[in-house]
Amino acid sequence: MKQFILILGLVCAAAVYGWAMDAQEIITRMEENQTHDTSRMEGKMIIQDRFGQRTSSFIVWAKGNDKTMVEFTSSGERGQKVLRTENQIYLYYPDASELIRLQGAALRESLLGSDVSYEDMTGNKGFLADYKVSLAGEESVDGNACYVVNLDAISRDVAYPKQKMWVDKKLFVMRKAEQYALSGRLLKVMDVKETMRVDGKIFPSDMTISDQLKRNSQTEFIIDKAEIGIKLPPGIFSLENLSW
Amino acid sequence: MVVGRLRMHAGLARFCVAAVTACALMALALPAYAEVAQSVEIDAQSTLSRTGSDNWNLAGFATTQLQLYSVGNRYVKGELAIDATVGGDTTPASAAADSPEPNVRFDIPRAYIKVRFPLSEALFYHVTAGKARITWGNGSLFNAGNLIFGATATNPDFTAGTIRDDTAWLIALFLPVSTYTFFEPVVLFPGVDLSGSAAPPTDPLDSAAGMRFHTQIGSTKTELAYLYNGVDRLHEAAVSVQGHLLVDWYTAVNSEVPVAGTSASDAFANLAVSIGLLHIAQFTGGSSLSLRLEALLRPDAYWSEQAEAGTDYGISLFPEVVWSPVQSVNIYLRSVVSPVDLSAMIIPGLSWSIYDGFTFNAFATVMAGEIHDAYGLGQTGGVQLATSVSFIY
Repeated sequence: MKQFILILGLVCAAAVYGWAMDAQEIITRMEENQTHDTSRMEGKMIIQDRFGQRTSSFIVWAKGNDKTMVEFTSSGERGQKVLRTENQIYLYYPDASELIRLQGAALRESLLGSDVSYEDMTGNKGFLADYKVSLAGEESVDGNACYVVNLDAISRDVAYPKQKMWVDKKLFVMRKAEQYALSGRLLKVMDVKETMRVDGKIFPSDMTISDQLKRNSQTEFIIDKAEIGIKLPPGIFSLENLSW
Repeated sequence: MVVGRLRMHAGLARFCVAAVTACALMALALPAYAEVAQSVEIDAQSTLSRTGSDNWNLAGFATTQLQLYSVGNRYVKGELAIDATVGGDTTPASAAADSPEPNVRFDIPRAYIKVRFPLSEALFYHVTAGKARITWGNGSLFNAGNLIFGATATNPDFTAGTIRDDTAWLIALFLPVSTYTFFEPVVLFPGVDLSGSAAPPTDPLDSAAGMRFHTQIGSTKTELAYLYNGVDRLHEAAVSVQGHLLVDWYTAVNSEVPVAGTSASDAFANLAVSIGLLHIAQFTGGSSLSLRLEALLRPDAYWSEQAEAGTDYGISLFPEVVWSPVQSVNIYLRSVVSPVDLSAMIIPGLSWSIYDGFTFNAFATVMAGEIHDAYGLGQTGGVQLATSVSFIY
């Protein structure tokens, strides 16, 4: 009887621990998977609106959370680049050969007409620096058991005051996310269709983003090739490289 | 003291020789292999133009641009763009003529090589040589900070995303100091005649040379620029700033720099100021509205209406409204307004990106004003209607 009570106690403790797994730990483990010291990825984004579908291919280099260089390679946008460093965004259009610093309302412009805005690229300190996180429960997303985590902004420098994330319980990768305005209005929904494992890191490799304020609009991001922990070329996150 | 100076000069010379040699050796050591990639853009346009009080002209032409560019080499890159225009002459005078001559015209808007060398462990500098575009300052149509191509465009394309697309033969050096700060010295050569005809030799003194310094002061992008304009024997300087306060704003001022033989009044005579405001509003449903207003001020130009056509007035405005119900559709109204003589060129248009790389355009150009105004209805091309399709592949 004593043994039974002891085992029951251990089972209950494990269940309580599993349920009450710290939301911070969940987000930390997810970011460990999805944020890389250095990376180079090739992919494409398929933009669909009520007038049709367009595809743009790109290469993105990243260093941690705060430095990103995106170069578009598809013929319509070839050579267009976006540089994000220290929460600043510069654009380069090869036809105009002009360096443009994005500020204010221009940050809310969408990236090549997609459901992603330049503002989505800002906010670079990681979720735990910008949001207070809390565990809301567990749900299944496409058959994958997930933690549901609420994120409430503690910083003003974020594009979305509230977010809700579904984080895979086994893989600690985001399966779904909803982003809200301060009023509680749903702004964007992200659904992860596929994940990729590279060097032990698991991250979304096929994800749809739909801007809820647009009608019949959706953008699918597909990563075709990813390299993680590589040595990046020196000076890649600079205006020199942007205008190269 | 003199010996010290000589030693310093000798040391500097040795450093320069060593630096150039190191660069040359490095260039030899690094592979310059690159693959060639290409893209083609075809633009087929039909234009109906008013050529006289009762005469109209319908002309069709196609412009093809072939771009060949290198890929795969991080240290050397090149691009060659060849334009061929087939069909009715696209110059306003000829397009508006009763029977424009069919022709084929070629142009090379871009032909350049870029090469980069390490400056430190984290920074590179690069050199651009050939026919290329460099944009100093800020501005869609008016940009007083653009000492190289002028405060206003010589051949603007109001139907394009980039209204100004001037290029020049040049050698430019992009010399970074830090992430957001760099120097850009440039030497511009007199134009090269591509027609094959025996052009008269050009005077080396007709070249231009200058430099810009770009940095960020707080959240304001700031540029200081200087250019010696050999053709007009002018020394010009400009200051350009870009920032955000409720709306995006940018402004620039340029002027002749008084040197020996010139006076402050000469500088005032060449003073130009450009101001721009931009605001983009996003609406529920995904539509957006972009509002832009640019102004170009020339204090020493005419501020009262003159009887002669082609007068250079003291103020010009460029209002632009672009409404995008979805990202693939732009409906725009652009205008160049001359407030002094109350005339304007108005360009309403539509651009619809139907498929990847395939775009349909329709636009009109209407000049509102009298014949001697900056923009007159009775002038050549006073009314134009055009449709075009373009495909990039």
